[in-house]
Amino acid sequence: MRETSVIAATGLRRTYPAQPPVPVLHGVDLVVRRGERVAVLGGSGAGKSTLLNILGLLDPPDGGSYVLLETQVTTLNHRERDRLRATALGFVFQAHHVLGHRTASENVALKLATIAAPRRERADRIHAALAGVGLGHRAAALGRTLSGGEKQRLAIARAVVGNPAVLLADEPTGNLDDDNTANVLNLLAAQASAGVAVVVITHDRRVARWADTAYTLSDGALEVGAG
Amino acid sequence: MRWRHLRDEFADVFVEIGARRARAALLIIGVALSTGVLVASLTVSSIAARQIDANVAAAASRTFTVGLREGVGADAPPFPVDSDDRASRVPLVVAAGRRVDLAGSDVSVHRLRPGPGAGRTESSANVSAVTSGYLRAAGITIDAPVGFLLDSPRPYAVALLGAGAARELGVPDRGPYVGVRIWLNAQPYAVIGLLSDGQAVGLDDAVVVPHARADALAVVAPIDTILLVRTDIGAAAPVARVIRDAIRPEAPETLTVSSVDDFRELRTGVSDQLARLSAGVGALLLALAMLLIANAMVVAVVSRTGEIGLRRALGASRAAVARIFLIEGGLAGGLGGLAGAAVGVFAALAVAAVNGWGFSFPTLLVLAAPVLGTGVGVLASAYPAWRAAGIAPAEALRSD
Repeated sequence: MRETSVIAATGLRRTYPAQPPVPVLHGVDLVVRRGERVAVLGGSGAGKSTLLNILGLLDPPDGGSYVLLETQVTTLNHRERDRLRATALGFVFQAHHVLGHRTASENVALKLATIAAPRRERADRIHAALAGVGLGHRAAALGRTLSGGEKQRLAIARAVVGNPAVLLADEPTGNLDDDNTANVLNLLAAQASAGVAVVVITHDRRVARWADTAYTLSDGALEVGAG
Repeated sequence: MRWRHLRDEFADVFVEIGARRARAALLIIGVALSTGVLVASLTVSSIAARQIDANVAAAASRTFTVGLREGVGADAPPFPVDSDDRASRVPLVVAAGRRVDLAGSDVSVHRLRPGPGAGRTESSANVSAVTSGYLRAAGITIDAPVGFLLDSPRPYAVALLGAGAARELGVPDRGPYVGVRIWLNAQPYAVIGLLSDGQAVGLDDAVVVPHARADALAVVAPIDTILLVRTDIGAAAPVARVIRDAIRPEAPETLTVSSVDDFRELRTGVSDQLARLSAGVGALLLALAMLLIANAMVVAVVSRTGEIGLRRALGASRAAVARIFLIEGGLAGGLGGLAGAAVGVFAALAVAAVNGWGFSFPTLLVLAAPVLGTGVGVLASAYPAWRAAGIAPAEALRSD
């Protein structure tokens, strides 16, 4: 099962237009298999978030090949990329992006509405996702009333409720204390155990130790190891 | 699939409106006020026009005038001397009579006998020569039973004064007028009474003399004389069709009837102008409401940039993001239009009640208002929605 690659990127390049142009990625190769935990480390400005945006289909690469779930995404149009992102990917951000004026349930429901999940299934799936991150009892709480750790767990629930093949996390533990960091890593590990490929962008070396494979992004390319 | 998306998007917008009630309420109130004023002004203009229509119609349906046709009038004989009687014998005619206005340059009017020592006593009053039938047809009353003097074949040198002319000439507004005289072309005329209600036919500032006296005062062309006919209510049109034969059976084509059609044009014109004015004011207000919604939506797009990034990250397409704002604008506009219809109807009802006008429920406007509001909301949201759809998700996610 772990042999099936869900992400196969070769020679990814990205240069930001500026005077002079700013090359960020030049030749990133990355393979991620089902159920694999991958950590990508790197200093500030190394291009970690740029790589995550490309892997998450939020930003196109300037060159290279990116195959996600056996689909060459560099040739897809906007709609096809949106559809693939909706069905295949889940995101967890450092800033969690929990909508404060909506309840925990409504935050999770956003994802199900986006993928047009059958209505009769939604309540059960929301409940299961919230219970899975230990927020079953906070389903009716407004997002703004949750603590930082709860918000991050809610973000994980929202990311996994759509049953993605790949979970992309950008500094998911950046704002958390040790206990909450451990909680979040456990939840991500649980997803990996269920077959989800988990890619974490991080500064945190504890995450590198937690990962099956750690890479360091340096000079626009990935090197194996935590640097 | 698409229908399920749309249903989810509507549900999502309802959640958003519920969560940001104050903002939604302000939008709805803005649209409600503008559509309310539009509905109210169109309704009021409609009922006011109908009221004017009714008033004018009532007047127009009772009176009309007969004149000598232009072109043939100069050669044609004047109205027969018994025109009033001929016209009055037509069934449904209440009164009929002739009037001729004398040119101011032909007739001088003085309070005192003109001459040395009389001072500046010349008046600017107009002089009209009428039969008593004219005054009855015009609904003018005289404060003394002297009408017969106007109709006598003997042209008495008597005068009736409009209220304004009496004031100008210094004639008391109450009789008796024994011995009171004015001077027309330096000839004495005994004042025999005052006219009331002369404003409607322009006799308030006039000196009125017997019709038979016109030729003695000025050079009068036959075509200058008109004959006013008053009928029973609503009988003007049928009477107008036969009156020329009654007055001059041998040459009815030399007479012309002017009345009902002119009034109808006036009524249509008044109605159209009121409707245009109201629609213009309403359109201006709707444009303001559109700007209000557009402004609020642009602010919403900016403040929700992070959320837009999140939705895109979750898989929402550009079109789906745009639809959220279009639906929100459309809903706010539709609800505002609905509330505006209610506000407008109540306002129009109040105006009608205060003025004692009849009120008819503007069904079409009430049905159209929410549709119009929705259209305005969607149109106003088009630019913000387009902007939201164009936001790059990666940048949007960095905005928070």
